[in-house]
Amino acid sequence: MSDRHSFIMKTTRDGLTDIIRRVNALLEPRQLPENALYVVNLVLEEILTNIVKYGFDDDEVHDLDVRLLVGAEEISIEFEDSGREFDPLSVSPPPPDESFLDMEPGGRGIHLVRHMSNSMKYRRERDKNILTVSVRLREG
Amino acid sequence: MDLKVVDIKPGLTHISLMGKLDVEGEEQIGRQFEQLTSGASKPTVVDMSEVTYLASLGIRLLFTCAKSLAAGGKKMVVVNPQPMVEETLRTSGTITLIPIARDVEEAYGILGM
Repeated sequence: MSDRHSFIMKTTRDGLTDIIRRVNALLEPRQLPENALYVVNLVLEEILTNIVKYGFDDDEVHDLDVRLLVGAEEISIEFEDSGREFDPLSVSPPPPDESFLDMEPGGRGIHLVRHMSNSMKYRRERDKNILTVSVRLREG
Repeated sequence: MDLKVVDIKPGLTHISLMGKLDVEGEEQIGRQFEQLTSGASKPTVVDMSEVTYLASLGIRLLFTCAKSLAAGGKKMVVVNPQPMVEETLRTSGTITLIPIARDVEEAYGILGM
């Protein structure tokens, strides 16, 4: 059994904090493992911050779509934006001697998401970036 | 997000953070944290036992301030982070600059006090 939820977010700082609040309001009553909820928050904050900061070449406010698929084993979060083409999986992991601050803009968040989530998949469709990140709800 | 000053001595700043160090949390305590750490330029103990969430914006705050302290030969030590916060710190590589101590005594030892 799984259920789907869709959100539209404005690419502003308020839009970012609002959607994180809405997703938490949806998930908190479900008594999910705390670690999974932590990672869901991290994924939302890092990926959406990157899109807001670096995704568009203009200063306009854009809409982007966030879709949640909540299953028994995992939560899948899909981000769809019409910004410039960007595959986060193309970002190289930092070399061991490179400091967190020296990483390229946006690279820090992607590094954290890649390490702490269970999978990331990217595709480009209809001139849109579609990134799917899954977070396992159980250990193992 | 809250910041509490635990102790300020001539040779030490000891502060405690509580809550979620997310976008809103960083906005709430960022400036005060900078003033108390890089602004004071003293060895610094940051109790993170009550921090429930940390992402790259918060890491950037910790790292920037620790780097500023290190430029003056001072160190920042984080005390007793919760498991997921610790994993985030370790994943980010922050611990090369900001060691983690299990308690305040261990932090003082790292700081040579």
